[in-house]
Amino acid sequence: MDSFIMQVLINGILLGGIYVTIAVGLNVIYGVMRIINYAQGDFLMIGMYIAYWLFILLGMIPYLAIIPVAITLFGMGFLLFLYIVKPVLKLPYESQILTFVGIIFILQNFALIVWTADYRSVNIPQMRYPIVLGDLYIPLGRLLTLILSVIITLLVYFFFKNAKFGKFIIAASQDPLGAEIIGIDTSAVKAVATGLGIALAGIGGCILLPIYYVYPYVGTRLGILGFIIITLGGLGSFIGAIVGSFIIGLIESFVGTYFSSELAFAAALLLYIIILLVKPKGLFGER
Amino acid sequence: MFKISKYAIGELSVFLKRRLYQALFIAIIMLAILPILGLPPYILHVLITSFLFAYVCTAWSYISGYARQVSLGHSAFFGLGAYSVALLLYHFNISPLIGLLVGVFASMLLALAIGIPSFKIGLKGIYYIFSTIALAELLTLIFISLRTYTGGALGLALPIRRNPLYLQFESKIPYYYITLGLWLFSLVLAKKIQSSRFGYYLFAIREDEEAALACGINVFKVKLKAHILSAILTSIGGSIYAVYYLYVSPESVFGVTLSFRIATTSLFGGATSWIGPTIGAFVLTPVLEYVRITLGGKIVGVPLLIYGLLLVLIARFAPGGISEKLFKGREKVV
Repeated sequence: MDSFIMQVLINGILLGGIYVTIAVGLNVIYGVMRIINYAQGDFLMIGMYIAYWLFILLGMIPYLAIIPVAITLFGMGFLLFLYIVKPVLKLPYESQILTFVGIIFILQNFALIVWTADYRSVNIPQMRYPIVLGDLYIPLGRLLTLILSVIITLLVYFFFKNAKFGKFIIAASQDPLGAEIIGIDTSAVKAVATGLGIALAGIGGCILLPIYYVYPYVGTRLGILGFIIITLGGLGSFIGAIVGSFIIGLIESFVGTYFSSELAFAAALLLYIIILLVKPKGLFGER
Repeated sequence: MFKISKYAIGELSVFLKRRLYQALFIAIIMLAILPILGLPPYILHVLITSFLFAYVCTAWSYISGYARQVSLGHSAFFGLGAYSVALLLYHFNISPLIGLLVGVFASMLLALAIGIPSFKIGLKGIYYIFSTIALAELLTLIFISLRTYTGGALGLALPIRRNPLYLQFESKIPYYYITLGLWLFSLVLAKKIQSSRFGYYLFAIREDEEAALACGINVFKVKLKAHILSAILTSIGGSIYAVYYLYVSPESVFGVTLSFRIATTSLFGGATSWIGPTIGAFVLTPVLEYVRITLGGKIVGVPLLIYGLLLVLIARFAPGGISEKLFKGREKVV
C-alpha cells in the first residue's frame, strides 16, 4: 500500500484512540441507566484542567496524573449520581436534559471563572518526538495516547467481564428488580457506574492534554463526537463504541488530508446524519 | 422559609388558576403602553430579549413540546434566519425584510430535508436529539469555513442603514413592538393549536405514537407540519435578532449553547403548556441579564453558572416545568 495512505490511516487510528475513552465512558453510563450524560465532554474538560494544574504546580506529567484525576472524577461522578442524577432517573428524558444541560453550563462557567477563557497547554517537547517506522511518522505523544486508551479500554472490558462488581453492574442494568432480590444494592451500583463513566472522561482528558490544548469549551465538540460515536456504534454497545471511534477518526483523518482539516469534523457529522437515517439503531445497536 | 414559599406558590397558583386570562390581559396591556411612558433603554433591552426568547421557545414547543420530538438543534433555523438577513444586507445591500423571507424559505427547505427522512423512519428520543445537535453543529462549521462570505468565526457586523425599510430604527421602541407582536402571535397560535384537531393529534403522538397511528392519524404529516411551522417561526426570530443586534457570528446564532438555551428555557417553563415557554423566558432572561449587569464584566461566567444551577434545581423539584407546578389539575385549559 502507498505509504502516504498508510500514514493517513495511522493518523486516523491515533485520532480514534483519543475518542475511545470518551465513548466507552458514555456507554458505561448509558448501558447501566439508559441515560445520556450530555456533560461527558465537559467532565473531560475538568479532567484536563486538573491534569494541567498538577503539571504546573507539581510538575506531574499528564500520563501520571491519570490516577489522581480518575479518583477525583470518580468521586465527582459518585456524588453527582447520588445528589443530582438519582432524583431524575425515573423522569422522562426531557427533564434529564434540563439536569445535564444545567451541569454543562455549571462546569463550563466554573472553568471560565477559575481558569479564564485562555487556551492553555502543557509543553512537553518529548511528546512531539517522532517515531519513524520506514516511511511512517508517529509523534510519541499520540502513540502514548493510543496505547493508554487501548489499555484502559481493555481494563474496563475485563472489569465488566470478570470482576464481581462488573457483573453486579451488568446485572443491575439487565434486570434491576432481579438484582435487588439477590441482594445487589442497585443504587450503589449505578453510582459506581456513573463514577466510572465520568472517571473515563477524566482519563480521556489526561491523555489528550499533552497533544492538545484546554479551554472551557473544549468539551463541547468532544462531547458531540462522543454522542456521534456511540449512536453510530449502537447505544450501549462496547464494541460499537470502539469501532465507532476508529470510523470517525479515519473519516476525520482522510477528509482532513484530502480536502480541508477544517471540514474534517463537518464530514464526520454529515456522514453520521446519513448513517443515522439509513440505519437508525447504529451498527451494533440493540434490536 | 420553605413553608412560606410553599404557601406563596399555593396562593399564586390559586390566583392564576382563577384569573390567568385576566392577569395575562392586564399584563399585555401594561407591556403595550409601558414604552410610551418612557423606560430606560436597559429595561427595554431586557424586555426585548425576553419577548424574542419567549417567541422562539414557544415556537420550539410546537414540535418538541407537544409532539415530544425534542430538538437540541433549533439554532440551525435561528442561524439560517439571522445569516440570510446578514449576508444579503452585507453583500448585496438587500433589505432585511427580503432577507427574512429568504431565511424562512431556507429554513423550510432544511426542515423538509431533515424532517422527511427522520420522521419517515421514526427517529425518536435520543437518536433524534443527536441528529439535531449534529445538524446545528454542521451548519456552524460550514458557516465558519465559508469565511470569505461569512467572516468566519469572527462573524459579520451588519452595515448601518437607519432606515425603517431596512428594519433599522433610531430607538429600541420599534424593536420592542416587533418582538412583542411576534411573541403574542406565537402565544395565540399556541393556544389555537392546543384547542384544534391538529393540536390533539400532536398530543396523541406525544403520548403514544403507535396508538396514534392506529387511530388513523397521519403521524408523519402531522409531525412534519409542526416541524416546518416551528422552523419558520424560529427563523424569523433569528432574522429579528440579526437586525436588532446588528451582529451575527456562527457560534452565537448556530452554536450549541443557543440550542440548549432555547430547549431548556421551554422545558423550564413547561414545554407542553401554551404559556410555559413564555414563563421560562420571562424568568430566565431577566435573571441572566440582571446578574450580568450587577456583576458587570468582572466575573464573566457567573450568569450562565446561575442559569445552570436553576436548571438543575427545576429538574429536581418541578421536572415538568414551572407551569405544571402552578397549574396542577388544570391541564385542560393550560
